[in-house]
Amino acid sequence: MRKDLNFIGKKKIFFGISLTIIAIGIICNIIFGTTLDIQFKGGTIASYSFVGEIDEAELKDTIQNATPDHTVTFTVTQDIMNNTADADAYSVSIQFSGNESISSDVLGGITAALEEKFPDNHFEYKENSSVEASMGWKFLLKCLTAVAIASVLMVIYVTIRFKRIGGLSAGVMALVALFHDVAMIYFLYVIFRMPIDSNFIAVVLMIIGYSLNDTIVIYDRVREERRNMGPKSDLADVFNHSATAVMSRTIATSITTLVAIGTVYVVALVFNLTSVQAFALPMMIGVISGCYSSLCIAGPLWVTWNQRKGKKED
Amino acid sequence: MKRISKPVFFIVAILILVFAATSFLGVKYYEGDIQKTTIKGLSDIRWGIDIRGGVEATFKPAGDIDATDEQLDSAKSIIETRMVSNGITDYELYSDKGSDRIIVRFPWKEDDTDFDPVAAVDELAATANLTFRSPDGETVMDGSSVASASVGVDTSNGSKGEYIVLLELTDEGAKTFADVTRQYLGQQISIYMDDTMLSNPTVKAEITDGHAQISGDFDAESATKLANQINGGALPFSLEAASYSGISPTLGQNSLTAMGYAAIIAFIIIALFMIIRYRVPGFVAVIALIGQMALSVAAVTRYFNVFNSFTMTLPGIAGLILSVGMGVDANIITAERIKEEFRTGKTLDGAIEKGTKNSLTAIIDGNMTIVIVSIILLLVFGPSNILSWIFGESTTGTIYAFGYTLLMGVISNFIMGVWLSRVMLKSISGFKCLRKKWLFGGEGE
Repeated sequence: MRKDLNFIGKKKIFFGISLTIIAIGIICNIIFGTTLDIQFKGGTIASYSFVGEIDEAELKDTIQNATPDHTVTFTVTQDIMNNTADADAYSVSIQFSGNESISSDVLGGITAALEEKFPDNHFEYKENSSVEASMGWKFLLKCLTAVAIASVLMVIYVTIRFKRIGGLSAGVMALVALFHDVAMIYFLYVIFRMPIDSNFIAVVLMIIGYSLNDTIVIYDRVREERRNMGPKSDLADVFNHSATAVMSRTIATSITTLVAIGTVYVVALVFNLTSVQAFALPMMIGVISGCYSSLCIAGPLWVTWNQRKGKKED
Repeated sequence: MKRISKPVFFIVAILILVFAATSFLGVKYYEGDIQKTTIKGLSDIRWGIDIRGGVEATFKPAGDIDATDEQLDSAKSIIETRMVSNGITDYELYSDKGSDRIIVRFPWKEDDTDFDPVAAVDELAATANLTFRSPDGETVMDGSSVASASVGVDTSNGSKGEYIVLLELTDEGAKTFADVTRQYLGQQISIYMDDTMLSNPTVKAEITDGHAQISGDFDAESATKLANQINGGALPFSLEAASYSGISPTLGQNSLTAMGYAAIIAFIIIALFMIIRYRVPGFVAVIALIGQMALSVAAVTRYFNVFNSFTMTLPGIAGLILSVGMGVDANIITAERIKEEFRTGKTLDGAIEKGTKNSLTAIIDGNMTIVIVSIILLLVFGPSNILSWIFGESTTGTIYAFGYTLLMGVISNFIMGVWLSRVMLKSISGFKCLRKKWLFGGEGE
């Protein structure tokens, strides 16, 4: 018989670790602020035309160096409307995120820098348009409403399915674990100063799913062990015993998931696909956080809640 | 244990592998020099802008219309709905209210080889104004009377059947339509989409039940397109493209090759891990996993050639990774449970029976909560969203894509990772040469 790992006994350490990371995240957030992508914040799109092939990495550096105050992204397009004669007419759209208007000095500065760096490509300023956020406040409110609906339904499902182990508390604590993981991903973006874009949404959604499943698997075992060990048994023992019993599953699943996403990350590194790296890295952190929050946050919180309730009833 | 006969394993495994081959590679044949596709494979997926490039178009109202902010917003959301209902979930859409411009970026269609931006853009910019006109050309009813449109098959003319578009009218529309059909009984009413006449039926009876149908020379694709257009609503003004250009893929062409390598390497590592750690149940799990991925891919390509492919984007890939992870997890939970039962001294059949039974609730509860989340995402961020009464008609392709691939992946997991994997496991355990506890994860004998 294996000795049970003592998760509940170390709960203060676990809560301490999580609260420290969250505190560091909040401090960084106050200092750095959050970088939002143009899709969330609106901004200005300026386009320049040019001809011939160009190294996109150099192009990016040149543009970024010319506007140190703004974080910019850009899209290179091929002009097919008027290209019957000149097959390699291109243009680059530079996206400035944020509401402040971009002065003509900045745009002129970019033109000068581009002309100097790429004299053969004949860069020329075309036009600029100021656009509204395509995913603005309304979108954020809609996301929050969706999260609220999904959370309520999820808590109802867990409450019904796990009523034998204090369903409502189990559901609420699973929710706390989810918010914990979302906070971890968010702070990762803040600390590494990555702009919040639609990839962020995808990573958050995936981690919510992953963490939820992890928590449910452990609850399922607690439900079973509680039946085996009898209602008089100590909840802390029941949880420690259950968590230990599913430990090999937790490790096997986490390793396979981490290896799969890690492979994507390494391949993206080899092929220099930065957007895929920026997507795989937070996902790996999320998998670790999801696994940790189920064992070390949701479980101990659930035990604490039910032990307090038990004391009151005595 | 309820035995499942031995050949079942081979039948299920072969069916899964054949299905996987068609789903990954597709089925194509040549008619002369022209390649025809019956079943779509991985190469027929519509990839996102960052992977395959696409079109950037700037729209402005045609003529000298000064659009109000509300009109511009509604035009923007109609374009968005059209894109999502056409399976384009990877796009960027911006509106500039100062100059009445709408800028849209979206990926090339999966079968687009001539990369013609005009055709790609036309579909989005069509006003989509549905009108019913009397014999003297007067408009008697328009698209605002239609509550929803769907595709149907009319079998009344012979056995072959003909594709039609069915219209469900609003209450008001039903009254108007009843008046119109009474007034023009015995005469012809023409149905127009913008300036194209779709059909010209003769009114045979007064129609009061609020149903109308459009027949014409439709195939499945054109009927679906028309129904989508009608459902998307009419633009408040007609749009013209002020400029359009092709976007070069930012990830470069080699990104697909790279992601392909990543998928293959990750799969091999997972397969080796499963087989070494869990032996026979691990081997069965690998076959089930191939089946799950094949079913998910089929849900993205839409398998048969008549349907538009879904756009595969990074969030879509995230949904697939999560669902494949859930599939691996379901098999790991079962295999670990079987191992545990051996430790309590059960026989081979007893351990398999008890292990599969005890692991079922964890797998079902875990997957069901994911199903709840993904359905909410589809309902809230899809083309017809349940929160439209608060936030207005709006869709978000990236989240919709995630919800779609995730839901399809989890359904595939129930079919392959839970049901068929168990069928195969119970069947393969009947083979005499394999009836050793060690092969199923027990201690050596």
